[in-house]
Amino acid sequence: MEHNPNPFDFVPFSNDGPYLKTRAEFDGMGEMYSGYLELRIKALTPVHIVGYQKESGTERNSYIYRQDGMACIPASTIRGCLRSFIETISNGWVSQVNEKYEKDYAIRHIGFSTFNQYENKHRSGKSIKESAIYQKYDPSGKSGANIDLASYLFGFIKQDETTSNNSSDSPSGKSKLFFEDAYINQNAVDELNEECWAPDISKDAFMGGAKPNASSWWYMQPKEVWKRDINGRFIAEFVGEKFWGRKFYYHQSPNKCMSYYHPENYKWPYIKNSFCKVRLETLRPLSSTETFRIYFDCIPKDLLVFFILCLLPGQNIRHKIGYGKPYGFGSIEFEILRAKMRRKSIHAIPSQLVDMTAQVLTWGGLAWNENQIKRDFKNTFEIIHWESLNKLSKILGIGNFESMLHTYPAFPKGYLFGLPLIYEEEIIKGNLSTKVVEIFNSFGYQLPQKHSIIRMPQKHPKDNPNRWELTTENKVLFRFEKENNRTLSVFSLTGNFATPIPFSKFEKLVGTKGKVSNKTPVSAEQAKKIAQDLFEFKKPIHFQVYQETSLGWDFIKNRQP
Amino acid sequence: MYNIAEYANGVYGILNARWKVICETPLVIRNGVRITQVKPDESKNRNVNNWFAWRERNEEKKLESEVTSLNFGYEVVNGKVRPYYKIPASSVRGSLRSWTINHLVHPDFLDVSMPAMTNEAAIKAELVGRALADPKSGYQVVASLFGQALNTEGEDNLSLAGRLAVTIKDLSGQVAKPFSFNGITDGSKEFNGPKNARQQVTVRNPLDRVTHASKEGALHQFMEFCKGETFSINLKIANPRPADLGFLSVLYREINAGMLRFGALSSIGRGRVKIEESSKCDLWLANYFDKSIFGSIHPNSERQSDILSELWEQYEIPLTSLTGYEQYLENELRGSHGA
Repeated sequence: MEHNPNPFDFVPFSNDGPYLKTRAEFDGMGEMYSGYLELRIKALTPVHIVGYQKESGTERNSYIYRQDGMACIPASTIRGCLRSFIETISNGWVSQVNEKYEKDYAIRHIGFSTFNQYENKHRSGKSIKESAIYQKYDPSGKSGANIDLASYLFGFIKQDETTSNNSSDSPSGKSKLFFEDAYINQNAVDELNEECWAPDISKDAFMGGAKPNASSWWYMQPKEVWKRDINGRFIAEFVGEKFWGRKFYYHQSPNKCMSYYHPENYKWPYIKNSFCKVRLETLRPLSSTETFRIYFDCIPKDLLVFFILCLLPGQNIRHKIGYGKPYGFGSIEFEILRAKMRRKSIHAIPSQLVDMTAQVLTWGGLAWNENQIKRDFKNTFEIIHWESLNKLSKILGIGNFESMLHTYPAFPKGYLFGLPLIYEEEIIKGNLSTKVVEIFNSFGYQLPQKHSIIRMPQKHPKDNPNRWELTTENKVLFRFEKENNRTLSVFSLTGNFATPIPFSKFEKLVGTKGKVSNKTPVSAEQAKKIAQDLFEFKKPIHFQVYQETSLGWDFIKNRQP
Repeated sequence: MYNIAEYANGVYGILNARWKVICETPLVIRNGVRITQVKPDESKNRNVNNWFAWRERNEEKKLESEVTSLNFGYEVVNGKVRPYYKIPASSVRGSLRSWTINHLVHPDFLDVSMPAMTNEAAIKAELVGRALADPKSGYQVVASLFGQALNTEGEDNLSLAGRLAVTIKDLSGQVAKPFSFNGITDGSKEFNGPKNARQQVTVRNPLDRVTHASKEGALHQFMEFCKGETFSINLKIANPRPADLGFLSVLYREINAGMLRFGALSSIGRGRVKIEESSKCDLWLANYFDKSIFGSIHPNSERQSDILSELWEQYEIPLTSLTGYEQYLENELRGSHGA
């Protein structure tokens, strides 16, 4: 059965390392400009920044962020959105990361560190895990007086004993960009309603939270396959090492997405934790914020052009901001209404700011004309990491976004879909109606005409007594399980995130019997082949393979900046 | 402008600018104090029914978190000591000095004004001497207005008291104002902190670039004065010259344009203020002083008699007419002194 592409994707880190220069070198990239831009943010899909959230029975209401009584998109949110974008397309440092993911018996078999080595202690002995990101991308690393562009523009503090506090060669410096809050008129706010919500689960972090793991090739590039012993059962563990890259979320229509996750459509397994609808108060699509400002101080011309390109990233790319990005919320575009600027003067007092709106909009219109940028703004051209921009355009590309549907792969082993409880009697009696057969068909599964349904024995007091197997010719095809009083879940025996792959099955399906040891290194090509060979058994093994075989990937891969 | 023997002939005049300032964006001026936010429970509710206590956080209590607070002092009201938020003059002065250095001093001489550059007094003094000797350095403006403190003496003495004094008529004595958190007026049970300014609590939550999860330990909250709060800045310049009026003019337009901000967190837009047009600028000059260097200025015929009225004339200079004096400041920076 076909699957939707995952809601996020990654822009890889370049093997060449980040683009770094000294402050003096950045300062030399053109005459200096100071001033401000007046902008608005226009919502393309509903935008929500969390102000406060309040439980309402089994559901939750999330009210938009307010300041001084007015709804607003905070300056820090706008700043973070743009800094993340700039770090990516300038191939800069990774300024914000969690440093360590500790080995934990219950959560994480293999611990790792983002920028350093990590020592894992297993029953079989110790192993050193290399950093998840190349150390050269660490802002606190040994780069001397060199900094990345984002640090030059957004500010940077470094304690480095190899450079003095002399301003001319110190990498530290204050921000040259000053973002203000974007207030929202109450007329542009859609109050809480039943049509605008994000799915969540009760008791856990937002839909379980991000779980980067070195025991899968989901967040990390393939490194090895381990033969892992779990109480005498051997499974194949797909061990990764380097993060795929910087994460960004695709644009999509929240309406389509909400429908997918609604429990009444039985596509998403709310089994362990029940569904929690989070109603959102939002900036309405096609509405804009009030005018706000971004100030800048002494930015060289070519870098100012670069910044304008990041604000107005061409016809295809749009930004994402705020809550609910995986479900299509937060797609925005910036509109520059006015630019008031001056050139830096020496031996003279700073001049008045003058209107240079037309000039700034002309610069924005260059996105992403390589020839023209190279001809007119040599430094800008050099700073843009075109490969990263290309990849980012696939993710943040707006083309066809309303027809796309991006959903997470289900987690429980084998989960396929849900059935309303009204069909429980049919399962107990072993006599499925045509309606149930039609439901199976609608999800892409065929029920054999001859089949039988038997209740599974409760071998242990903790086993769920409400489980049945559907078999044909003594082979189990599907399993039904009533976990709560709302749905019957339908499982196959394979697939999904939590599905372990017995090592013997791995060897058989991949054809490596006798060729793999306890820890077998794999190349990128070998890893892809492994994932393809195992695809029918378990889809979400290799992130790239999963994405490239998803519905709509042809649209995604053809998007251009 | 710079004159090591500035007060050899005493004080002949005072330029007094009283600016009423309104916050166009929130303002953050801190003193290192942290107060406590208390969550009511560990539910998935966010920022609901939280309350604030004017004390440090109890680290053992999971439901308590820190909030960076604002600068405050103590005043006696009706015979009782109470805390009140205040804006220190040193903070405003520092912002003005920093702007002056960054915009009026030639880039070749910027290091002279860095206090941490060197511990060697002699090297520092030598660099300062060089900057003061070069009429185009722009450093004379800084030294003359803001002063210069060096370990020098005798004939080599370069230390000089600044001519500019900054005072703030701030938020003291104001009635209690509401405390806002996410747009909701807080009904804090324990908040016995200052209430003499409208204040709000804002949150920042940096996100991990790979996972988009919150960066561990980075979530933080801070207090700030709300947009719309007002206070007054008083700038007093002794022995004023026309270039000083030009300096005030530049400050006035830079502050109103948002190019000069006060307090912390300017990178997220805090600290932009506007000087109200009703603000005043007075020039007091000794009767014997040659006022013609200031061009066409007229005594304030409506002024009330005051303690100096028999000795000094007062001239009111509208803010809008200060721009005519910017050329004098420009001449100073180019090394051709107007006056």
